[in-house]
Amino acid sequence: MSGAEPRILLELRFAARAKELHGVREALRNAVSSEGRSDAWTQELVSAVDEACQNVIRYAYRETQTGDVELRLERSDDRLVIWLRDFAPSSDPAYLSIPRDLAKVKPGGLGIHLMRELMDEIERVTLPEGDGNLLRMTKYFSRDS
Amino acid sequence: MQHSVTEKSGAIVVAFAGEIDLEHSPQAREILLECVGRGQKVVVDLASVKYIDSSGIASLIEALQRARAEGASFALAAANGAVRQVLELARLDQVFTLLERVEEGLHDDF
Repeated sequence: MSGAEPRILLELRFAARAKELHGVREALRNAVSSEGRSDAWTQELVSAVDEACQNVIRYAYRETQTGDVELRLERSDDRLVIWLRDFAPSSDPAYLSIPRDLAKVKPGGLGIHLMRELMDEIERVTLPEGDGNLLRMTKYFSRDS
Repeated sequence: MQHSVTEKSGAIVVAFAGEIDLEHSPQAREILLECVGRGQKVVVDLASVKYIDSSGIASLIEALQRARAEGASFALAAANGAVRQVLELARLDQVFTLLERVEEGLHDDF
């Protein structure tokens, strides 16, 4: 551990709308491109963040409410960390730990499964009631084969 | 996302290109269900799909289930890169019929 402060690679604020997600994915790819990661590792990170943003749009803001999302990408010595903040009513933190039964073939519920598979750590950070929701997702460079 | 629908050798080939994401998956779902509703074999050509998310995968699952209910064959062809990875992570590579090439679906039973 060097103890160095994380370096911010990207900060975005965007409307919680499906049409914004293409631009978010492109911005993430560009921000990670200078970090020497493989295409596969970068794609995994981008997919996980995209799924997290979808959860905000579909479930936190329930697709009908307007609101913003803040995304910050930080680099430390051995990892990238994504902070994803929304300003919707507080969601139930249990949603992240509900296991998906992969034996059941059904259209919905894949997003969180993919997030867990693609990232190394996912943590919902508790905020005061009314301050929205904050998600912290970590992916280590050591997983880049 | 772009798409085309063609009939070849009695099968409907639905070819998508670009990104099947939250913005475009409702359109993909509509296209797939319309094709499956014709009661013919359907092959979905994913060769030019660069990205698919869980909402796009959900559209494919719904089409598969509709095809099964109607007794029609349904297969995915030429899934590669990020698309195949998502299918594998969701263990859907064991659920869908995955073909290397579209042509395999035109001449063979699956």
